[in-house]
Amino acid sequence: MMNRSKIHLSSGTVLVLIILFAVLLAGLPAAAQERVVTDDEVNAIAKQLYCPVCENIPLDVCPTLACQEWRNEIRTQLASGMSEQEVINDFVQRYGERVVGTPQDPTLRALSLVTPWLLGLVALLSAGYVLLRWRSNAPQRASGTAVAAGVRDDDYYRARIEQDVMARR
Amino acid sequence: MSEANIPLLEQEESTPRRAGLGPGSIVLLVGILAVIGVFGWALAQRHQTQPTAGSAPDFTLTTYDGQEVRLSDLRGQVVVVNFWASWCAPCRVEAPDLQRVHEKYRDRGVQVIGVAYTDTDTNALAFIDEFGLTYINGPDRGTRISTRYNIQGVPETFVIDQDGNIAKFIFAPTSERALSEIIDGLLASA
Repeated sequence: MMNRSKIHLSSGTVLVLIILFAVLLAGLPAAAQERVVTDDEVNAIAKQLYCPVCENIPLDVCPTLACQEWRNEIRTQLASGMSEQEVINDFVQRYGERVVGTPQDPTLRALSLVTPWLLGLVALLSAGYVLLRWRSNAPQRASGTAVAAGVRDDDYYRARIEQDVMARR
Repeated sequence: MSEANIPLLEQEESTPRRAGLGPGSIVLLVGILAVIGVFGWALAQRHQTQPTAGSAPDFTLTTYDGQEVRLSDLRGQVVVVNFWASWCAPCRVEAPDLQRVHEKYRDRGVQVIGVAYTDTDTNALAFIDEFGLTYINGPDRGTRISTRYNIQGVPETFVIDQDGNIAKFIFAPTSERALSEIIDGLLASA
């Protein structure tokens, strides 16, 4: 018969184990929040933002110190659990709409939003107008009046040439 | 060859040309004018410069301490508005000078205000701690203040007199001596 050995733990050891377990449990949420953020994740957001110092340079390729700090800020925010859109919204709220390339002047901003739709509408109306004109001109061509006139002219001159050739013989 | 009286070909009646522009031409012309107008407006906006005289654009700054400071509430004092950023090397050079100006004139009706331009809060606060800045400092949320002043970069400093007008615009790192000269002149003329 096997002797089952029993593990006897002193009260001190039990206390240490409990404390260790509690520390591990406390560390788990923190570890879950501070996830590792890759450069690709940072650049996926950075390419949607623009350098605060140099005009029209996307944040992901800008070499300035200001841009480096903004990319670090993006990394920190992603690591804290913010989503891509939340990061962008935060940057817009803090630094203005210029960071996403929107013109700052209210008039230009309105124009930049309205103009593409306006151009599309104008193009559509113009195309419709041209199509209607083509359709209204089409019946005139289908009557073949001009074609008949051309054929008639050829026959006439052919007849005249043959008449002249016969007269020479 | 016998002379043949070849009758003239019947010519199709040509449609008379319309006087004026057709609808397509009008649309094209309006489109071209609109594009020219938009580009012209954009160019005009780009060439706007910092205000160097006249009434200083008013603004409200929320400091890093959470206080709200409105420029117009400081009427009667000389105000030095300094745009800076932690990533700006010349700003690091002039920061101690601005702190000395603040300490020298704060009891004489002069207020120094630092506006952090497109800076992260962490780095801006570290900058303030590094240089021991005790004057008012706050972030330019939405870059609204810097837009009103049309700043082109940092550092840029505006000295505003007691009547709220811009007395001096400094488009370079400033110094205690330069600022003292300007402030002394304004205080003497008051």
